Amino acid sequence: MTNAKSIIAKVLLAFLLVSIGVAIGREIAARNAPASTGHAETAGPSKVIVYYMHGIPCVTCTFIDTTAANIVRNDFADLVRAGQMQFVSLNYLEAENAALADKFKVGENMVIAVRMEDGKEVARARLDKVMELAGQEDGLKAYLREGIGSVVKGGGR
Amino acid sequence: MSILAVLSGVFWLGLLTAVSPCPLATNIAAISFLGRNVSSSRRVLASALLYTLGRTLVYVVLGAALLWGFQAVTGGAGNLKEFASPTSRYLQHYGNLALGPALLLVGMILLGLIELNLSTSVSGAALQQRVAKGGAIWALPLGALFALAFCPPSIALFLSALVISLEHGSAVLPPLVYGIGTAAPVVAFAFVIAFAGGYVGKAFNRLTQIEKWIRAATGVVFIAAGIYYCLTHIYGFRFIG
Repeated sequence: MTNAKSIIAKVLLAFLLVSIGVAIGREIAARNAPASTGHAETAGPSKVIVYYMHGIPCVTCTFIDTTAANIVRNDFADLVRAGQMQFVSLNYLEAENAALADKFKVGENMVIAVRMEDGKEVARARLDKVMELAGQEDGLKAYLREGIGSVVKGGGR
Repeated sequence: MSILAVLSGVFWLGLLTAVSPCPLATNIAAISFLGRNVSSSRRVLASALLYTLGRTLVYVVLGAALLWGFQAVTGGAGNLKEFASPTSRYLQHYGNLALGPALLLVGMILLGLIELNLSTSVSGAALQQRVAKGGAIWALPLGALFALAFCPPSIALFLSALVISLEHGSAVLPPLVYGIGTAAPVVAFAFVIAFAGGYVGKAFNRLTQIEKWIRAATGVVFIAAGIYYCLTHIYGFRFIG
């Protein structure tokens, strides 16, 4: 019994130390990685990019991701087909997306719709109430449609 | 809107945070930790209060610091959530990174596994005895640690509570009530487990034995939660979504 306990203790301790080492190693690698310029700069002459910026994965986060992607695909199908609208899902905690997270000042899950013209941002909607509305599907959909629609029309908020 | 209605709304945000699936693993660990002293309802109560205090302290201090910084830098104009975004990202990233190893370490101490192998270390038998035998004081840092491990629903709802703080000119009350709301379901379940365990133990005259099993189960739950958080946040495995 004591022997088994000792083996379990050693295995767990090894896992703990390796995990700490991996965490430190990944942090160092992430800091040394080249910063991404963000997706917005790759946009064409006139395009709306709908970003879903999320943190660590969760059930609610995935639901919002799917809902936003479906709205872009179904409600704005013509624009998507014409290559004038794109949906992008990004983890704002990953080092490669830090520049974009800084630019949009993202600290929680949100949808950001950006209208680009000739490589410049001309309108933006920051939809940061998605987590609060996640429990009311119809309310969430209406919020997203209205926000993305405002950018399509050239406004934003 | 009356202050009571505002605080009820903030309490509701706290409850929503607690019952969202995201902090499920930490909630299960907290319930088992708080409810492990089946022989002493006083200890369960003390642990529950200290756990709530630990969570609440984090929200109040963090909220006050963010509101103070927001007022100092922007003069109260602008968007509080945008201002808080770098802090929010930092907390989500490092809080969750530290959570797995911390849970694993506490679990090993609870089961006496550290004592077995590192008998000359700073932890040793005395620490293991104190943690495992129900020192209620350990619930305070545990509550603080779990509060700091923000996940997407908790950071979004906490920031919403802070916006309410800003709108109503009260830096302390909304984060305090929010913290109590996040702890309430965990505390309620801990009491149910503690009293159910105590009842069964008394009925079968096996109170000491039941308490021993529950304490061992607490250690196992902490280790399982620690491995889960390490795999998710350090190694990048995805179990949901």
